[in-house]
Amino acid sequence: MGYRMKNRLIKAMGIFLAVALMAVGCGQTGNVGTEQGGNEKNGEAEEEKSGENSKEGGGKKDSVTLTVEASQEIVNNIPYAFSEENIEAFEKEYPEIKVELVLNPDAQNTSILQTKLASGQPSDLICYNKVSAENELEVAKNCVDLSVEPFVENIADKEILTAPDGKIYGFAFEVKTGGMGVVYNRDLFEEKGLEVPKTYDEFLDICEKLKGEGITPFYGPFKDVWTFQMWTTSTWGYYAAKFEPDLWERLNANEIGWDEVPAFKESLEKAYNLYKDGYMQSTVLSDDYNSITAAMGSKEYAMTVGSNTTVRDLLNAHPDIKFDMFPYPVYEGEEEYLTISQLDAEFFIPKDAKHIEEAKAFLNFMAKPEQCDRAQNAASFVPNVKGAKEPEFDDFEGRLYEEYNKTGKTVLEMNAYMKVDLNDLWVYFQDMFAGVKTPEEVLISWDAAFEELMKAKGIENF
Amino acid sequence: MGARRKAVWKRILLQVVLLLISLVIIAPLLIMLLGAFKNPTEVTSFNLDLPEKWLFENFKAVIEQGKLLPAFWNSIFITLVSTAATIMASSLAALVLARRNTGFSRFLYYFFFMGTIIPMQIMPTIRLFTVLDIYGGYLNVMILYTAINIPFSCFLYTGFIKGIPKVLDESAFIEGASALQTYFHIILPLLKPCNITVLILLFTGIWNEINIPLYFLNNPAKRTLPLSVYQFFGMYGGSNWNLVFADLTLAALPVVILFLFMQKQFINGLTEGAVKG
Amino acid sequence: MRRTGHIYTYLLTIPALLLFGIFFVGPSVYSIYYSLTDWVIGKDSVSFIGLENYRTIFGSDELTHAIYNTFLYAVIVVIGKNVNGLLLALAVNTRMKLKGYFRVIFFLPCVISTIIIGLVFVPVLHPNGILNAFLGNIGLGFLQQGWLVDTKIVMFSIAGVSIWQWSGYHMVIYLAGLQGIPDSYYEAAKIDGATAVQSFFGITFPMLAPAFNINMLLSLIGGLKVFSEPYALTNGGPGNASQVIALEVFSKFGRGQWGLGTALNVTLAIFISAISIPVLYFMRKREVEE
Repeated sequence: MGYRMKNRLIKAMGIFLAVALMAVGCGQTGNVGTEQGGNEKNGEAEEEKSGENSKEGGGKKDSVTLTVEASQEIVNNIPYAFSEENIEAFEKEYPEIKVELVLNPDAQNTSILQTKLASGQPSDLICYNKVSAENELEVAKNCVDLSVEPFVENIADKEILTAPDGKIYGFAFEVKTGGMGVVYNRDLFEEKGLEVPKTYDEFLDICEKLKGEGITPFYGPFKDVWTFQMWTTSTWGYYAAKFEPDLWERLNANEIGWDEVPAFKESLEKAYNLYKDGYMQSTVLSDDYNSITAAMGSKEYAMTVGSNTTVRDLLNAHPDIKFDMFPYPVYEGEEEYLTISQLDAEFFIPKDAKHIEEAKAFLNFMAKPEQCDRAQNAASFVPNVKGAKEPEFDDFEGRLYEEYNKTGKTVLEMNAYMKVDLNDLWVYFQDMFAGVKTPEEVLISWDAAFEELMKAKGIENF
Repeated sequence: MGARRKAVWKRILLQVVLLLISLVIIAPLLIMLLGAFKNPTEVTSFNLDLPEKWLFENFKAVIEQGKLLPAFWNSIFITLVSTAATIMASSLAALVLARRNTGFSRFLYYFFFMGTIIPMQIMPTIRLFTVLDIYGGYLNVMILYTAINIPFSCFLYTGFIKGIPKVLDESAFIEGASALQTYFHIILPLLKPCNITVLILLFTGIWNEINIPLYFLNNPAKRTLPLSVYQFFGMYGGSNWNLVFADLTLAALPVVILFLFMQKQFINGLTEGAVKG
Repeated sequence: MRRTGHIYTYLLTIPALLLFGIFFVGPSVYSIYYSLTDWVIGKDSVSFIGLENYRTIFGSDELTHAIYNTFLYAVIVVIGKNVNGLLLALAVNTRMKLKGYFRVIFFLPCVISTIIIGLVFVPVLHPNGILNAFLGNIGLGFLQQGWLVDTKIVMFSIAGVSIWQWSGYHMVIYLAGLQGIPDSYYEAAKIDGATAVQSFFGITFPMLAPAFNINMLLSLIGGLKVFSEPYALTNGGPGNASQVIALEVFSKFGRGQWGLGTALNVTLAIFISAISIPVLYFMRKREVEE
């Protein structure tokens, strides 16, 4: 190794070290700077950062970055809550506030939000399912009580936003109308002369006919753990609402076990038999929710699990095909009722948020008829804001709204009544399709896991 | 003569076998690369067919929709600083660990080694950064990457430095150089090949890591490039696998280029270090 | 001897010690305390419950299954990566034109993120994917599998992807070891009339011991800490069939069971230490003797 080379190396290392030290320094100040600036362009990392700092050091009024955290799934499901037009309007009204969306991968969303809440470093606003937030994020403990905020006066039905303790912790634009059910290719049904089934036997007849035509009747996207539960939360929700209204209460009080409700087993068996009898594709555990788009567009499959969002996404992806939805025909009379899911998402303000006042301003701004009407441009919904206009639903959503919501023929999904995370149960569903557990064993295992989870939560009788 | 001929045949056969194996390595990567140029329907067959038409605009779409440019610079910044800091801190420490043979240095060696074993604890770490008031920015991410990577690079450097004859630094010391001078003038230049090895391992490791930015960056403007992989898969995993693949390709490209440019020094670094031992 | 000590003053270790000690060891030590508590989200007070969490871990079928899977996975990858790595190294170490090309290609997957590799392999390993199609085309249809769905083989499939990705890494380390063996040893052996097999076991194998040790250690620690591969390929499914310890830790944290999750994390650290520290100790001891 020559002497020149040594020198060069020493120089290189020196530069390296200098850059490192400089960068650490910059990072330190940049940290404080971007907290306020949040410059989107953010091109040439270091130089611009320091430039930005000196600018802000010059005594300009501090600008605030208001962070709004949500999962991709939520933004996808309720685009109106994140209407860009509304956010622009807000930033115009409050020029010193800049809104930044923090999107988490779905699988890690809960974990990230909980971690940030527990460590006192949450975003300024969190968008999360209402009931799940009450359980998983402990909003009563972690979030600001908004019961006396001005926006509450604008809400048409306050009950929808009220938590079990009687307080209001969040805001949402809408009255929940979207349902869950069997999503199907209407064109394909018409082509084959099939009617929407009214009973489980009719459903099986349809399956048999479709199978005879070389079409796989039902597409199961069960690689994702949360997809099959749309079947159970709907059907079990209907069963309890119709036949045993106090069932959830009794389960939550440990007065009855999950394995002691024969109707639960019935629904699971019906689903599993569809798979076993070849009415579902053999690769149910290899195909995920995302693959629905391609599968349902291919005409090789006629039906699948899903919600309003699924139908809307399918219609967008395949404008030339008509898709629609009907209730699961698992139990008697179920075809007349649509299962409504819990409120998709509310905006909450964590107690430890850095910009609580600005976050409140955001909610008060949004909860006005103008904003509510503007949000309709992103997707239609039934507003829960006084003075807001009625939605213009497209074809299928309008029909569902007229047929079920307006006539009161809706039931609430099971998940809305649960106090613990249901992931274990969903995992057992996969075990069922993998042939590791029978429907009965699924319920027995879940009953044990449920007990543990309730006990860990400190709930009475467990 | 016969034996010689047999050896030639054997060598050719061996190369053919290795060529086949290398196809197994390349094929999945090619599916991704080719898929990035395909249209949404073509790509869903996930095969090695060439695209009907090479759609370069997929990349443009991904870069614009995913706002990948700022994310790219964030990644470069975070990765470079953390890598540099790790290399400095760990090679200095490794010098002592490799040269001293006392009970304390052995203890330190195992102390650092524990770091390669123990999984990181997210919760208490966030609390610590909160107390220090640096949570959420670039700085806490870079410190964390440095802290986490010190053990393994220490481990590597210790091995490398043991391969360098002690006489060299001792004679410099006798001539009156200080510890730091000895380090910069004698040890570091000799460490060049393994610096590159460690550099590549650290750079790729930090570049590809995604959990730390998820938990420790609270401003979306600071997010790193590989995180876009999640965003794209979530958004387009059903309908536009071509965009997903274009994004995967872009996220992998910087480290692949770095490796291809430095591969010779990198692999030589590993081998030379051992030869000297 | 005393003089030389001063060159390598312990001051040089301070930057590394501070960074590592404060930002890594500190939180880790703190977490040992957490692992002895009933810390869950939403509980107002955290109380000390002794070893209760550890009792829960070893009493739960699900978690013991994850522990079993983790060890199974570690054994498969340690064998797979080392056998592949060594064979590749031996092959590439011979005189050949394409040597450089092979080294680069075999190492290439190591620089790509496991999450990316996972996303690419999911469609490849789909029952209707290219791997099964390929097997069908070359007349090996009987080998077709539901790679990531069949609960009996899913761990092997995940390990296979990992072996695919990391064999090149271990190859490079073996190559380093091989190139450190002086040619004169082989020449001497040849003169003594040793066969190729004899010189492999007489020279190559013992001389490779340091590389072998490092490779064992790295693949073992990596195997026991496995997270990204099952996370990206199956997320522990179908059902719980491919759950491993690190994934369980992650999901326990995701559900706010921080005390239990931490205890699981500590358990994992104990497992890895118990296996790897003795290995490391013998490695170092032998080096000193040499």
